[in-house]
Amino acid sequence: MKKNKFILNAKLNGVTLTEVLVAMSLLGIVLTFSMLISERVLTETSQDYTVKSQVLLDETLAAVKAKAVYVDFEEIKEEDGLLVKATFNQSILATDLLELELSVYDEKSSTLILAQKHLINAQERN
Amino acid sequence: MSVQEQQKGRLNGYALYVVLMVAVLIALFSSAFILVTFYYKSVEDKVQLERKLIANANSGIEYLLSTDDSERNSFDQKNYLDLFDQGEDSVQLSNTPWGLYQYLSAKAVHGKQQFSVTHLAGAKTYNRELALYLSNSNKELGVTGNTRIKGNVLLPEKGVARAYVEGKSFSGRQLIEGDKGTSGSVLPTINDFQLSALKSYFSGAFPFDVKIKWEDFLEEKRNEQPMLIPKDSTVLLFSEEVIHLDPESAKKVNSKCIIQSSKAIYLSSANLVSNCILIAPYIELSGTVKKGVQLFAKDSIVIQDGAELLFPSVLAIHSTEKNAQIKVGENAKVFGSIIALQDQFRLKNNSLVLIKEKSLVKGQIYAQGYLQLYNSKVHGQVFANKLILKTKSSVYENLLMDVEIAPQELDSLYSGLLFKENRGKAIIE
Repeated sequence: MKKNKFILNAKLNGVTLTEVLVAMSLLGIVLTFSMLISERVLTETSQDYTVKSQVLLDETLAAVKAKAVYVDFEEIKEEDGLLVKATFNQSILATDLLELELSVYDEKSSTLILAQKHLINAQERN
Repeated sequence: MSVQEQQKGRLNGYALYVVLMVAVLIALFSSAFILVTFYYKSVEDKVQLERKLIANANSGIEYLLSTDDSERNSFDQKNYLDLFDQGEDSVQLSNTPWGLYQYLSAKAVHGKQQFSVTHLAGAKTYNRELALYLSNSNKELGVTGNTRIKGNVLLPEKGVARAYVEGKSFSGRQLIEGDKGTSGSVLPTINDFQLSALKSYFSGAFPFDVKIKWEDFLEEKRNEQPMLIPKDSTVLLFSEEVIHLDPESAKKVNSKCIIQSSKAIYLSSANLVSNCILIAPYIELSGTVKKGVQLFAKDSIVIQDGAELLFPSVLAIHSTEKNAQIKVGENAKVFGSIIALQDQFRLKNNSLVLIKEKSLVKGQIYAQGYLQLYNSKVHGQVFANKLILKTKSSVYENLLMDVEIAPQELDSLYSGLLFKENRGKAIIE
């Protein structure tokens, strides 16, 4: 008992161990909060990015179907900082069917955000 | 810790207590944040999976649109398909005839999650610039009055000529406002898959899931008893007697179905749900009808003056021995396809499609027998073995009087007859 009392009241450069523990706890709280909030912000940013990317994919798919031009392309969306890539391949299912792979990347880091595959009825090209 | 407490020999655990509380709080907050993050992540994953299922179902529909029905031999077949050959994207496809059209369905599956999509589809328009196809015979096409043919034509070898009939001569500038070509001796052949589907409504071999007697159906509806009909099943309501689809009875048919009578059907109400199929030897629609319906009759279809049939409507007869007839009354409007089938053109008792004055057909007319157009408009295409014009004094062959045929007025999304020469289907709804 006396030992504990001694430890808790021990002073190092005029600061008791109690004060050190409380300070460390407060620091722990602050660090935990900041870490979790950053993670939350990052998640939300990522979700925001995913939503933007999904909208971009939908728009690109609609444009491809409307134009009926089936050639690989890349398109930079500067306002969103995103890059869309479209790749066409012949489907093995039918002669008039194409596989379209749409991918959205972060323009700066080239990180893949979203990718989707679609089949396109390409009879119009004939 | 006060000096007095120390002196009493008691331990002051204040700091440990505070640290413990702080640790618990941190643990609680961390858990809450982790749970929230996990929840958001799982929601995001679910949304992504749903989007993938939607994309896969739509891809399945694209597959159905891209392939000929004969290639798949899937009149009523259900298939599982691995879309990208990676074992991850399975869809179940079905292709069910619905009159002239088809219901294309795709169900994408992943674990316990699934997403289904169904579309009504028809054939893309054949040779969009074609206005008139008149089978090759020994008689030229005569045009008179205010006739305007605003598209390409395929005509008998003898071509086209001005005619002076009933005191009228041709008043236009050009006989044909498009290219001319020579037609074959028969009309373009309808795709086997579509033709067999059409003929099944005359032979009674069409597919359905549940058969209910019309009188029982009305009785149960009158007693407000719920009918146990499986979802998405095709219901056939049939009667040996005449069916009157008046406002009261038509209102009771609140889901698309096939209504068949052994004698006749009289439709006199706009209350009937859209896109039903009516089958009877004789079908008559009154002027108050304003609906998209498909009518199949062995003997006659009569559209009374002023009636309006919305797209996608179909009037179809199949003439075997009797001279079946489709009559579209004055000021009537038909948005869809008018089809008169007969196996071969005969010396007598050929079918007749009669389009009366001031009526409008927006779609296709396909007459393997006779077609009479007089003072009316066709915004679409006309295919006929023989044109005929009966006046009070005489009967004229291959003559058009005061008729407008304009294929460019047809909506680009229109779909109807599928010929062997054309390919591809289009989604209607």
